[in-house]
Amino acid sequence: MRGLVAMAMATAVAVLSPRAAFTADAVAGGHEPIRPLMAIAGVDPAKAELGRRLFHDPMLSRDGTVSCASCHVLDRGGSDGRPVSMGIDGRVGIVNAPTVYNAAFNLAQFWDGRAMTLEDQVNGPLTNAAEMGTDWPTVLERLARSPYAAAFRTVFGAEPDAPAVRAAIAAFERTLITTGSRFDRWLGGEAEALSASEKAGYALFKSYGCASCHQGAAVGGNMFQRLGFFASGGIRAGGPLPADLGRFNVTGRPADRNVFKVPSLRLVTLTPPYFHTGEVATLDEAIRLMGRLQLGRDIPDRDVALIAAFLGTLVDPAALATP
Amino acid sequence: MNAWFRHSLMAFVAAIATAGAFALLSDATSSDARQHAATVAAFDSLSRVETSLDRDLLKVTASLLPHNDTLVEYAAELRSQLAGMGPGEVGRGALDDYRPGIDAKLAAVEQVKAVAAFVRMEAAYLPFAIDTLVASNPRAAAPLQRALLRLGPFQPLGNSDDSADLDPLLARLGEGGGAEARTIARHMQVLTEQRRLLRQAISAYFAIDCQSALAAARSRYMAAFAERQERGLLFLHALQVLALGLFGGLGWTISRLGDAHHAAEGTRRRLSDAVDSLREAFALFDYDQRLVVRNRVFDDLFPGPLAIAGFADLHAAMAAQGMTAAGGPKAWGADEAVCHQTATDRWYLFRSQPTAEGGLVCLLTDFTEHQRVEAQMRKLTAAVEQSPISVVITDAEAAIEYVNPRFTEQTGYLADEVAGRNPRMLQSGQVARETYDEMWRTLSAGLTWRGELINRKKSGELYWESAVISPVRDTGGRITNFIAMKEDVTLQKRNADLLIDANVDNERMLFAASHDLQEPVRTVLTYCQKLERQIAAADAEGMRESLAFIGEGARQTSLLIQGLTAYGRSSRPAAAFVPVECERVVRTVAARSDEAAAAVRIATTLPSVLGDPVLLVMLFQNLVDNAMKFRRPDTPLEIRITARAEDGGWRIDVADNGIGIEHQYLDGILTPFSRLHPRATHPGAGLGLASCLKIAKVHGGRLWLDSEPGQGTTVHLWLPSALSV
Repeated sequence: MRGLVAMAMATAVAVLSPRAAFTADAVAGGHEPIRPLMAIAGVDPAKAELGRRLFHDPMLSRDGTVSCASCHVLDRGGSDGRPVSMGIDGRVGIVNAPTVYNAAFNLAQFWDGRAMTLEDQVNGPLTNAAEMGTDWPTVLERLARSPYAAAFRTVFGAEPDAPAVRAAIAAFERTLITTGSRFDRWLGGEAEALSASEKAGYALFKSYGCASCHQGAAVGGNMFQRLGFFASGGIRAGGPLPADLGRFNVTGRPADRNVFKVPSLRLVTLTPPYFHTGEVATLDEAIRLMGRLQLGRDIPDRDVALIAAFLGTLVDPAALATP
Repeated sequence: MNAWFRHSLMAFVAAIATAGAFALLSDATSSDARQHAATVAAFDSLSRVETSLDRDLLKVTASLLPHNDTLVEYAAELRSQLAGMGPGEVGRGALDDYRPGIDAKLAAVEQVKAVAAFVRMEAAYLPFAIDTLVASNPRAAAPLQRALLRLGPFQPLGNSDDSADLDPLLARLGEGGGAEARTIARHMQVLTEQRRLLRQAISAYFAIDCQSALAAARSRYMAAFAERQERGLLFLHALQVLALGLFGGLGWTISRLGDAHHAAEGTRRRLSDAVDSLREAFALFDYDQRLVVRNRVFDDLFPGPLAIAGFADLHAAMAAQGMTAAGGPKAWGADEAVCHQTATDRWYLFRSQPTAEGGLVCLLTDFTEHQRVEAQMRKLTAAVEQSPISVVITDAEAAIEYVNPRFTEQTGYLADEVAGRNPRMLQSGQVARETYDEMWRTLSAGLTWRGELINRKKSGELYWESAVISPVRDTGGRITNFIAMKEDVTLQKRNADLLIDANVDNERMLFAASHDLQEPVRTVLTYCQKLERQIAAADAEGMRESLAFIGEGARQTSLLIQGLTAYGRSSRPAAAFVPVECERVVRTVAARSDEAAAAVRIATTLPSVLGDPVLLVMLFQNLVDNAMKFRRPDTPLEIRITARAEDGGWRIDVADNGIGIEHQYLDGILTPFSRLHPRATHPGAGLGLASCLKIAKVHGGRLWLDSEPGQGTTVHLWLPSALSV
């Protein structure tokens, strides 16, 4: 029946926009909401390499104790497994650190999407007092006196400056794409790449409507959505914090209260705890919470397990980068 | 030339500026064209991406596209393209209307995405939930299935609320039935609400009209670009005109350069000729002390392989030619030195003079000839200077240019006093005008005039000169000078006069002597014959008388002889002249008799003259004797002697208060043997005044008389002063 509806819609849209009927997605790419991940083309390897070094260098923090990789541990799913991360001086953050993997596919960075690009995102942790706690002049002065200066001259043809640092780190992050998962192989036509229960989990994932938000190549990350259609109030155990207002903090529009960027689920099995609060420790619990919040119902344990099994196919842990 | 050079330079600068402007313009034009293409492409791309965004958003809302990835890509592309279109490229403010539209549109996209996701979720969940319900409670599920069918597919662009009539049904279903059915009905209600919301969101999205703002921006940009193109074209035309003008200027400059080159060639040739024609050896060094110009004489002077490249070589070259220089061309700068080439015994004058451009002009002048001429000149000059003949050289206008020392000696005028004056100044007025006329006729005819003139010295004294005056002609035959060679012939003249006088005297004396001597001698002879007869007659009385007559005749003869002797002595030569004090002479004379001593008065200071003391004593003796001889018996004799300077000499007046002389006799009285009175009353030989005149003449003076009969006689004596002789 859905096929009928879709065909009718397709006809209607085709009449409205003749070209649309012949786009790859509509005609050839099947009608799966999830697309295989592809490496991003056109990334300058030299910049990416410089970005890799900077990403792992604690020199970018005020006291030289914290690097980007301190919280975005590349061999632990690009996150740190903590509810909230620990920055310099042992200070802790407010929201859960998301994975750095596939961040390039996010329509914006941070839970509330306050940075539109990867480059802009670099500013955040660098200057956040609870993270790296420094400022650009300090960082640039350190870089100018370090061997990085020569590398910057080679790669950018100039002395280190903030845009170059940001560009290098962003370039590195664009290389952190988790391609080659079993699910992507299945999407590519490899029918036995998924087990029957995983396929059933995927079907449930779609049937419960999860895939209406968690879709696209990154299985999320390409839209903002209200947290809790069928349940109001925050999810934080200790009551809402200002950060829990989400996108409202960026746009100031009342409609954006409790709206967050839909997170990518590609590495969801590797990056507990969950949600921006980091208070949900297990994946099953997170699936159940999503059912309650967004659908207003409890998802049966059997279905939760299937869905969790499916989510496990979205990434190949062995293929993750090592520092 | 300078102004022309400045103009050329300006034209050159203008040409460079024009070329630069062309280069800049073409650069700007090409970069402008590239940028224009990029900007137009960006406009097109913006429009295309926006359309794609619209399309995919519709697809997403119609569930034709199950994911938002393309929407994210298009939004990112719009953002990055907008960020890439700086105000400079598109025109300031051109996109100002568009940017907020896009921002609003991208925000609206997020709204649509969120609502659409919800709708999609419900659309996915409802069939799933109903299917599940069908398995457990088919009866409850049936109305829900019908309702779902009636709900139908979502029409994103439909403007009617197609599910409005479902609301009561859903509300009923939501109240009755089982819990599961109620939940599903509740979800259906939410779906219809969300569909409405989605429809609103979509219409809100499409209400944002970015395309017209973009089109306006694009047309504004195109207009601005066209205007810029127009301006560029105008500028290009201006540049072309300027370039044409400059080409004209270039042609003119080239032609002027050609002219200048010819002129420079000509100048160089003329300079070369001029320098070659110099008798001096000429060399010009530039500011780097390199030899740039030299002439033939220079080459002749420094022949052979010894090339002089620079000023530094010159000294060595001169030494090699055997020129020993006192100073020599050592220092760079103005210099002068005399060099002697011993081998050829030639003398050179080395001179150097800096030029305006910092070079140096060197001249070597062979002045050997000049030196010889100069030596000759020195000799000639010495001859003229030391000549005993006075030499006067005048210019063609007869203004005196030169006189030699002898002239000064002769006339008393110093060279400075007469320079530039006419020799007429020497005229005494005693030469007939015809003489001068004849002289000038002769001279004007270019001939030499010879003659004698009476001129006046500075002292006023007159003198005779014998002059030879010759014109001097230049090579063109024009008279440039007159040379007069003059000899003072006063003495010769005087001596000649004296000789003539002496001859006349001699004749006269012979006659007088024969006449005057004959008478006493005849008397003596007569009385001797008478005495002879009386001796025979022994006439004692008669004998005594005869002896008395004989004695008288002998005494007469003796007086005559004395006078002759004195007169003869009065013509002694002038060579023996010495300074003589006239006063002493007069006093000597006065002291010879008491009568004279009583009569002579010296009224003024008497001068000192050059003369023979004996003759002068004789002169004054004669005058005093005459005064005493012709005194008035009734009046005491007084002889008054005065002197005053006159005509460059002295006039001495001897005045008495005697009987005087009748005017008719004044002239004759000065000839020898003339007498006015009978010998019986006034004894004498008649030679007194004649002797005086003769003595005056011997001294170069004059003597004349003034007299008033019965009152007295004044004898005037003029003598040259002692200094002027």
